[in-house]
Order: sequence, then structure tokens, then C-alpha cells
Amino acid sequence: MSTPIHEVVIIGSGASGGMMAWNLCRRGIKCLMLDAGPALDLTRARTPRKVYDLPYRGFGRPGRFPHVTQADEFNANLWLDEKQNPYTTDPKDPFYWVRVRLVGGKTLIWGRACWRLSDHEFAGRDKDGFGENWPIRYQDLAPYYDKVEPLFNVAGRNEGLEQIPDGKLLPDTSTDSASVTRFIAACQVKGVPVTKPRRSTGALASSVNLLLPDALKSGNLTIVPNAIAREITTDKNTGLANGVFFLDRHSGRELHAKARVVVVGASCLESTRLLLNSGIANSSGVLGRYLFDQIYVKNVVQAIVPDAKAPFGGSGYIPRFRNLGKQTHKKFLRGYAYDFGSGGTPNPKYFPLYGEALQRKLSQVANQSFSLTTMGEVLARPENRVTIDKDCKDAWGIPSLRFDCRYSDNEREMAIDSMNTADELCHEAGFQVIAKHSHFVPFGESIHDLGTCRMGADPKTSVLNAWNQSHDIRNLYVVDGSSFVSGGAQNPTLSILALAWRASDHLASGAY
Amino acid sequence: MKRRDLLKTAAILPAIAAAQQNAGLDAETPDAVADPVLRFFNAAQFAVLVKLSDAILPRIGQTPGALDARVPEFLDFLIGRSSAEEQKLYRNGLDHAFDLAPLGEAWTYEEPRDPYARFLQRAKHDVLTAAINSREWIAAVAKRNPAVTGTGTYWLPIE
Repeated sequence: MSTPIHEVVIIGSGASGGMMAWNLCRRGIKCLMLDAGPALDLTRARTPRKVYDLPYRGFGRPGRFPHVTQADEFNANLWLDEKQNPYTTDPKDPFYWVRVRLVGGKTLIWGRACWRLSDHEFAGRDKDGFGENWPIRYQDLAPYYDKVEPLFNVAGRNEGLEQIPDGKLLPDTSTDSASVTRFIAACQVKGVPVTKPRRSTGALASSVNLLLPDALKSGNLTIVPNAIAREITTDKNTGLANGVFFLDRHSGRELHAKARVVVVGASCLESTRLLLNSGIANSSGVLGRYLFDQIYVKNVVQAIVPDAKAPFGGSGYIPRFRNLGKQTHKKFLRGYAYDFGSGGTPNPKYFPLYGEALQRKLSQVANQSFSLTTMGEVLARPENRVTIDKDCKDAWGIPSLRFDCRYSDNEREMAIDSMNTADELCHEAGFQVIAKHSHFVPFGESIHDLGTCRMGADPKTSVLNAWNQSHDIRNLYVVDGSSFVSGGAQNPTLSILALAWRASDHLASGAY
Repeated sequence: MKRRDLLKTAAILPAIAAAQQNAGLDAETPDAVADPVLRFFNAAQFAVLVKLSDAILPRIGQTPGALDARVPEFLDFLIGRSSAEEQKLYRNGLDHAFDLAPLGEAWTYEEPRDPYARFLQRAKHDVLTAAINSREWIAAVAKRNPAVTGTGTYWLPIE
């Protein structure tokens, strides 16, 4: 006896897969969701522990995660095992591929910052001639941002800044600390915009509590965990997608699910790997190309606020301010944003001291820390790409990716400018800068990998159309960050959610 | 199975489950009852590590220092499990003439080129981290600052 043909198979259960299921199932469409990882009961999956009771006293097992700097000994079991899931790079140009394989995906651990993209991104080429425009404009996505923000309880302030359009936000009426107030005044003197953080709020802000339960309640969603998608299959006669081969994570047993529509939302790079391994949707030849993320310069400037007064703490955000009107900066295109935070004690490494002198210093500067982190746009370039490395297979025998990507002078110049500007702002505020640098983290570390399956108006230069639908295979949708044409400096999850909702409306209308 | 036996089994099962969770049973940590066995550094290297750890974080008043937190013993274990590169950095650093002057040099993003200076920076980080994550340090600091608990949310292994 054969199993039925599913209306829609969704591969992945994070932001994009979860959003697709939420909308489609509530609209009466039956969906089968495959996720490569288990569905954890979060009340049992986590437990309080003392750091000194951990086997490595908080250091973590040496060498366990060479490329996951976010892993610590508390959360180590959350990240995908690198030995079971290898990939290759040029040793000179590392890529930090940071993965989570659980139902809910990376929405279980995301940073929750929620900034809208604007036409500075959607129509970036019109402004400076670089790269491609998106096939959509801000007005196409705005109605979906309007719906996603309330669903994710996004709080923040609307300030009328065109580069981070206003949203449907829960009001943030919190007052600023004395240190932050001083910094904001300095930004105003220098003509640099500044606002409160804009974040998804709540104890948990994940696909597993905000999206999947409603989809399940509709009676139209079936979730199969531990199902590692290997290949999307197509009909020989029509060329349409007709199902997916997947392997049971525990046994390696292989199965095939039949489907009328296939939706891929397995994360930017896993989705791209799946399409490449399937040998489909690549008549343009750009599948896997245009990989970009965002440069992060962590603690680009570390300062202390010498006479900081209580209440301490507080944080904020500086949106992009370079090259918004005309191209004004000589050394780089586009721009960068900052997160900043105050309070706490700076890391002891910044002080050339040890012993009692160091401890005295740390007591003196308690609550006086002020630091900024740069997040900068990375230009989408065709030569930054992933391909299948047939000789590098995961523990289930599925070929993995090879990364060929490196940053350019544009990113380096941007990082230097961000260091100098942050330094000026801190000096203007009367803060004492104790350290600064312009070294960004390795490609991939921001976990904002984007662009390898990009949208576009022209099927010759893009993989997807304006609805996240494959140009080549009309019943195949790719809905995660791989569809981005450019990414600005904004954290991408909010836009991934909005794009997925929009794509699911298109799918539900039967337009495929 | 007789009904009486069934009842007996039913009474025992929850007790077994509770014991497996260690609920209600007092237990002790190994360090409270036994001494760590040194496996990695030689005696001369370990003696220098003791001196260095004490210099980086001495006992100050009622606040335990690195030696109270048995940091050298812990680092013997940690470095013994670390990469060959890390092990070499430590061994050469501890064999080097003892000199703390490089710890007085200003911070730079790039690690110092001089391996001994690089070792000292690494040791400063490791000694401070191992100390402030220790039971002894957290217990002492918690007395004046209840916000310090050393507790974190641990993700259990995934099957």
C-alpha cells in the first residue's frame, strides 16, 4: 500500500518553515513538515546547573567546536556536531558554518533583533550601481512586516527613520540610563541617528511556541522530526517537483514522501546544499553563488564612563547612516550599524595588569563599561560561493558543501570607518576609550548567511522569482535567507518571516 | 503475576525512578573527598604554574585566590586535554624564565607575536576564568553579591 500524496511538504521548521506552516495550515492546506532534528520538550531538555559542576568548569571540551564560537559548556549540546557534519574550505579563507538541528531551528536561540529592510536594500543598485535590485520593493513586503511584528511581540520605538522603517511595535517606554543619555547626546551632535533596540519579546520567541502550535491546532500539520532530507525528486515528464527522499536520523533508513508542492526552508546553506545535491533549479547557474552575511566587529570600541551614575546598564542601536543620500564615502559602498551597551565591567584582558592591582582596577570600573559592536553590509559577489564537495560526506553519506568566500576591501574599509566613528562618538560623550580595533569575525560567524539561492526578475541571473518560487520548477518554493539579494546591516530573521508569509499567500492562492 | 506481587512492584517502581534521578539522596563531589592526580605538566612546570596562578589572582582578604580554587590542578587537566599547539604554548611558557613584565603591555586585538607574551595572556584568561567559575570563588562572592550564583541553563545531551 502506498502512502498518499501530500499537498505540501515543508523541509525545515525554523523561522521560514514555521511561518509557511502557520499560514498554510490555518488556511486549510495540509502540510507535512520534515525536520532533520528531534522535537525537544523544552521543560525537560534544559536544567539549571552550576558552572563548577560542569566537567570542564565552563571551558567546554577542548576542540569540540572549532567553528562555533557561540558554543559554551552550558549550550554545547544544542549545536550541530561538526565531526558528523563536516564541510570544506580553503584553509586561508575559513567559513564558520553554525548550525542547529532541532524542531524550531535557530529560532530557539536567535538574538531577536527585528529591523525592517528598506528600499536602500531592495533598490540598492539604483542608488549606487552595485549588484542587483530585489524583484520586490519595500511596499511589497511592508504589509507582511505589519503582521509579523505583532505575532512576534516586537517591542521598540518608531522614530521615522527611512533606513529602518517604522513598525507595528509594542511601545518601549523605558528610560535611558545616565551613560546612554550622554551617548545619545553625543550622537546628536555628530548627526548620527540612534534608537532603542527593537526586539521580539517574551520568555520564548520561537517557531516552537509562536508558529507550530497554531499550525498543529488546525489539524492540518504533520511534523516528522529526525528526517534528514537528501534529495528533492522531480517528475520525468513534467519536470515538476514530486517529493523528497529523506533518511531517518537514528537508523539511516531511507524513505520517500510524495508531494504536490515542495517548500524548502532548511536554512540558507542547507537549502542550497539540498538543491545542489538534487541537481535542480539551477538553469541560471547562480545557485550557490552570491553568498554573503554581515561583518561583525565585536567591541569595535571598548570605553569606560569614568563618572557613571546609577541606574546603570541600558543599550541602543545606531542604524546605517553612511551613503544614504548620495554616495558620500570615498572608500566603501553601503554602510553599517552598531549595537551598543553600557554597564558591567570590561573584560580584564583590556587592562595591562594582574594580581591585586588588576582586581582594584576591576572594582573601580564596575558598572562603567560602554562598548559598541559593528554590523556591516557585505556585498553580494558571484565569486563567493558554495559547491558540493563529493568527497566530503556527512555521517548519513550525504555530500556536504565546499566554501569559497572571502571579504573584500569594501568590508575592510567599512570596518575601519566604523572603528574611527565609534571612537569619535565616545570621545564626544566624554568616555575614555581603552581599546579599539577593526577586525571582523570570520565569514559565517554572525549566523546571518544569506543569498545563495537569490530572487530576481531575470531567470538567467536568479534562482527564484519575486514570490520565492523557483523560476525552473513552479511547484518548488525556497523561503529562507538564501533568497536574499542583499541584506543591509539589519538582522535578517524578521525579513525571512515576512517573505515566508508572503510566499505562503502566493502558494495558497494556487498561483503556482 | 498475583495481585499482591503486582502491588509490590508498583510501589517499588517510583522509588527506582527517583533513585535514578538522584532525588533526595545526598551526594558529594569528587574534589571534596580526593585530590586531583597531576598528569600533564612535570614537577618544575607545575611549580611555575602555581607561582603564576598566585600572581595573577592571589587571595585578597576573604576572596579566594587561584590556589584556593585549585586552578593549577584544574589547568593540568584542561591543558592535558587541549590541542598540541595549546600544550606546546603552555609547556614552553612554563619552561621560560619567570617574568611577568609582558602582562604590563597594552592590549591589542592580535595576540602578541612573542610566544611567551602570548602564553602569559592566555594564562591570565585561563587562570581568571577557572578561578571565577570555581565553587570556592562563587561561594565567597555570593555572600556579598547574591546575584552571583554560578547557575546557568544546561542543555542536556540530545539522543
